[in-house]
Amino acid sequence: MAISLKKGQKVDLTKTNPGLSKILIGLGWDTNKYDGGSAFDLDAAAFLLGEDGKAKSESDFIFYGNLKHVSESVEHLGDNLTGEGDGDDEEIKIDLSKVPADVAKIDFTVTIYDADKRNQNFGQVSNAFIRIVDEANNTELIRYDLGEDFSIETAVVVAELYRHNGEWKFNAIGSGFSGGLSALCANFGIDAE
Amino acid sequence: MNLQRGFRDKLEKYFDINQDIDIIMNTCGSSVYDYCCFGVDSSNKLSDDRYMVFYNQTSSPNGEIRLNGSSGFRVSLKNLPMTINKLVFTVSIDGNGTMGNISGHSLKVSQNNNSALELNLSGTDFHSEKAIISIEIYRKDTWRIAVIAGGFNGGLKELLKFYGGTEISVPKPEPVPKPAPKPAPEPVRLKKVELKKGQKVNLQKTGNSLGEILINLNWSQPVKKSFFSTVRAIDLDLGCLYEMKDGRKGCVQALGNAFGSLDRFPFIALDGDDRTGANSAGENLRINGKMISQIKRILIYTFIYEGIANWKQADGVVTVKCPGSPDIIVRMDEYGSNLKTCAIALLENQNDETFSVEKVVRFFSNQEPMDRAFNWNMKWSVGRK
Repeated sequence: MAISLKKGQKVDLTKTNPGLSKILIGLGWDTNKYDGGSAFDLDAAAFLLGEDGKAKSESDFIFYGNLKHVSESVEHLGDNLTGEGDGDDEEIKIDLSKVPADVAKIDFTVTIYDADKRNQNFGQVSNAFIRIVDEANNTELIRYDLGEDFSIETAVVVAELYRHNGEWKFNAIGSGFSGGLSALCANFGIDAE
Repeated sequence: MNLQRGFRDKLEKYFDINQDIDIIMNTCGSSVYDYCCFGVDSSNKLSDDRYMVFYNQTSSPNGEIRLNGSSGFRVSLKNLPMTINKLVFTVSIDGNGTMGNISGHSLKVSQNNNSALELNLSGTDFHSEKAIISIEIYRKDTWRIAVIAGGFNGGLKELLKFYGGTEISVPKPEPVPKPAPKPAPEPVRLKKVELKKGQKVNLQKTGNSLGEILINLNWSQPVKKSFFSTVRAIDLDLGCLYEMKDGRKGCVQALGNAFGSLDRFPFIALDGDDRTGANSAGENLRINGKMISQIKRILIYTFIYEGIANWKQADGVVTVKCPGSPDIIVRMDEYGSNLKTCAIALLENQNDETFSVEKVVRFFSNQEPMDRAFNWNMKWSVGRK
């Protein structure tokens, strides 16, 4: 039975699941069921960050344009352009044992592609969630349903995996930003255009 | 505060959610715009048709959602049953045109005439939708608002399908009278009938007696702002002449404070005259259908109480609503008369069972010559409100 989290909650990940190494981060959402308007394209990304909350280089930003980290610890399984269907819309594979020692945390974000041009925001997205699955037995360990707390933001830091006393913990952040992916990149110390 | 598509927030930050809240919509453009509030359950379905409040059903069972006129809803959230999880406020186009053609759509959420939240959209916000959801008010821990501003190309029908309602295109045929304990719930009627001049139809009965007949006058005259209040440039009034079987005659109208009564003679009543509200619901005249055997005929009329006679500009619409019958609509903007009084429709008793409704649309300088033209022959004097 997966642990269901609320915004701001932190839980142990590896402490309660000893030996856990390969996990799958699944992110999902529902959008626009109405006619007219542009299609929604939501993108999941992962930022590998140091203690200071900044990425060391652009290669620590894993997204549709850079699917795999050089360490092979984080791999984005590919862009889903429509968000249709049940279950995960985009997935990111993580091998905790391969995460470089200088990476203190990994943040997961979801942004709306071309949000300003398409006049879209997270108020129009519903049933967004993030879940962590143990790849070894396909068991869902943690789930965080993002709920109703978003309005006109175009980027959301969904959650964070972080090291704490040699273990990995999970933090259900759920904070919205305006400015989309480029604003997030700037926040994490990456130049993007 | 101006809202944008995608906005979500808790209503209690802006309103006392234990008091009535008004949702007033307005759409400008060349089509006919209808407004509807769907009260749906937690699966987003209209499981109880009685919570679809629109032109054919102007109130939910306990008055928790009321439609005043054609576009103003008043909701009492605290009185809604827990099964109603969300109120969806929609605009749909009857006939030609799309939401992409509108010049503007506004929605105000207000309490005690304070519009704390306001949404303003234009045609460029839409495409070929014929029905849109403007906002939703929904339960999630507390009552919240979400600005949707999205919809369907298929209009009100598709909207209704989306919420799992059923619609029939013709009024349900009268079942063979059986000792049925309860009338079956009726499918939601979307049909409206626009009468041609001189055309006559009979109102249909539901069950064994004619229900309450509602005559609504609404007009979308642009408003002029004055320093103290917002007033319409034209004040249109609704009234009727009646003739009972026993020969008693009279009129029901705001002028002269002849508001009538629904339960007592003449069994016709006018709701309070509203001369101030910019987005008000217009005026309503009700006829107690149960008392049809006492009523011989009724002449519905409207007159311009204030302002110059410009019917085209006043854009008035008179709607006759009777449970079980399609709405009968008479539009005033087709007419360019400079006379201030217009006889709209004549209702005549048909075998004490129902009224026939005939579209008249004849213009007169005041009530007296109209009275003469229809052989009422009452005495008239000048009055003021």
